[in-house]
Amino acid sequence: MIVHLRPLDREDSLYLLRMLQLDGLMKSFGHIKAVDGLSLQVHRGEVFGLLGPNGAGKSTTIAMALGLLRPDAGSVNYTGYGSPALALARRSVGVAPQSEAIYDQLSGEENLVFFGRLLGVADPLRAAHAALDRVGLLPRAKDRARTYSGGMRRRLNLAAAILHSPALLLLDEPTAGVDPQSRASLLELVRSLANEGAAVLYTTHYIEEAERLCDRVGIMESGRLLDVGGVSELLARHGRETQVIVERTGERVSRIATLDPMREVAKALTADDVIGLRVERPDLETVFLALTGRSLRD
Amino acid sequence: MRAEVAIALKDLRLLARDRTNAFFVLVFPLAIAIFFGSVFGIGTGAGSISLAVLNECNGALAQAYVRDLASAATLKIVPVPSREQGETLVRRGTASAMIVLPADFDAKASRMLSGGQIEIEFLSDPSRSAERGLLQGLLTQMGFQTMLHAFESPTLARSLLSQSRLALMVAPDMQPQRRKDIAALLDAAQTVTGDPEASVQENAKAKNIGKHGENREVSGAVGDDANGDTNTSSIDNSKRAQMLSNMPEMVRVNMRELAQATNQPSNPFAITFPQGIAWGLMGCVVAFAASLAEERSRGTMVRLATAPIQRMQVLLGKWIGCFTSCMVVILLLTLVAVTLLHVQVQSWPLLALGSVTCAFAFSGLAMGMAGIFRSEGSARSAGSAVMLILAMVGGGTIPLAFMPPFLRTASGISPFHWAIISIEGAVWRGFSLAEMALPLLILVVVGVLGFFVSVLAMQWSKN
Repeated sequence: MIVHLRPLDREDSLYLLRMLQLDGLMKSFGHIKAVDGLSLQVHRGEVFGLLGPNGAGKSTTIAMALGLLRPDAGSVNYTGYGSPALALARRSVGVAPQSEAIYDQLSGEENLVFFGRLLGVADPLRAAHAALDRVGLLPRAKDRARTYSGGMRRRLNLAAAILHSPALLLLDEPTAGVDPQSRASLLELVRSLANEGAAVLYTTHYIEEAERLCDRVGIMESGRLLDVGGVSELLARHGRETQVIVERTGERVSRIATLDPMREVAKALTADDVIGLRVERPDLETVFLALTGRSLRD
Repeated sequence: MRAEVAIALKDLRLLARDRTNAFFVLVFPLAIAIFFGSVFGIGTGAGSISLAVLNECNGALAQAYVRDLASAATLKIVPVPSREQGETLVRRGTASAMIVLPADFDAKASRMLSGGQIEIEFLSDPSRSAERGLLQGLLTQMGFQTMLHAFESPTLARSLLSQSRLALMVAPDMQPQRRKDIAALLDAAQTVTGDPEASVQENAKAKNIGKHGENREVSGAVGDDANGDTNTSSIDNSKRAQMLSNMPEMVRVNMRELAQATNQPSNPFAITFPQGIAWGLMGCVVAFAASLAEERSRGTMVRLATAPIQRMQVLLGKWIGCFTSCMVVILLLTLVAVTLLHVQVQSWPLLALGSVTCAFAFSGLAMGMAGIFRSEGSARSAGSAVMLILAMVGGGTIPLAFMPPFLRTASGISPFHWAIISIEGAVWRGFSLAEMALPLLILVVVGVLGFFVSVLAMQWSKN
């Protein structure tokens, strides 16, 4: 018998790449709707950012995606592995909770060896050293976690998530409270994990992080996913034109909205009364403002 | 001032909204107040000491003595038909002690004015020394009271006096002066009880004293003076007391402890060691409940819950840790007790069984507490307080004898009570397996219930 296979189209490719699928998730705590009909997919090799203020429902979404919370409605599926209730599915996911989920009284190495055993890693010590090396903590492997700095503890938290080379990473604000230098190295690490094929769901309320790291961003507010897309897509859909702000003598300021800011800048530079010049490009803050009517920083 | 008021209001609101604070500010002090109020307050000790009585005499005076004992507010008399049954009650902790009124109780009592002394065998629970002292005093006091009551019946008094005169006559080794003193005493007594003329004189004298406000009447007649002799009420109490004070001690209490009864050397550490174990287990419970709650608040529980293992495995792992630490505590304390404190264990297999069951119960309790108290702080503080209350109710701090009946009944809800009983049962109470069954069963139920609460709490956290 000859089986004729049709060539893969875009939908097929996306299905094959899909790692996490959340469909119509709903969760209420009393009269508060924490998550309201949220659906999204995260693909292999992609960092999907959930951007929203505190209380938007990001952590609740992560908890449901991990199977820690039972949704009131909707479903969670790890493509190829099933629901997070299954041990096989849980073996395919790595998690970095918002809090530093490590034992202070254990060393970095002991922490990871313990988590490795729980995760069923064949050689926990070797995996622990590999993960510690990856986050730059190998020289401090034998030191107790309580002696680590805030940034180091965050890195150890992430190391525990990647210990078993999971196909899916759920990272809940992994850079909260971290200095800029440590944050940069953490973002770099997450990016490299995605480049190696991991699907990453990354929650944050930092616009810069989402813009810099995420391939796609979902804007969340009050439990609802307002829009999803690449940063440039979102800017194109909801961002305003670039603003050129020109300050002139006599405390006069003019704002010029333009699609060609360079032309406006060149024009301003030829004027005699111009004493200051600033270009404001639209960003995800602008998108959030357009979608919700309020600033993300409010 | 507005700022200060705002700060004060904020702090009060925080206090009211924190359940742990609410527990410590309201529930804990209330529990302490009720507990100690019940212990030291109204109705303290009513029938709080259970005394098994084996009456081998059953004469009038022996019965009067038992009735006098029963009239003591602190005593609850449990008549027992045999020595074995009495010992069993003491051994099980059901009775604080047992007394045996000898067959010659009445015979010796009737010779008391001539040096006769009643010997009461007294078998006590060595773990209840506070009650033992109280009981010893009561037994002696009631001996005097019974004799006083005996003198209220002139018939009995005359009989006592005549028997005492007879005994005095035949007493071989008595020194002449002593014989003379006792004879004078008997003569004096005769004037009080036997000679009608003397009685009238005494009566008149007593009335005269009564006018000056002195207490002269004795109420509460003993059953055997029901012959209605009116002279009974006319006998001066102080006179009788003076007369009796000249006599040697009428009731001699021969103390014996249960450990001696079971042919094992008594060692005070054998009594304190089970209580030490209970306190050690309490430490384990609080530490483990706090560590579990800490896991939840720190987020490490998320890692455990998302690991490719069943939730029951997580709970079981936690339980095994707690159980092991409880066992280590018991083993270490046993080792110290046996090697350094020379505590002798009556039954090692039963001690092993009791230890495993105690560890099971208390590790289940730790799991349950971790399920109820969600934060490390509340598990540590409120958990300690709850355990302290359970320890107090269970007799870990204040002897059960000093508790009112409802608290003594409530002590059955405390796992401390059953843990101590089961360890004591194996160490020195000489429990059989059948006798161990009840405490062990209750401890197993406590452990299972605690674990069940933790499972429910974990299920609930998923919703």
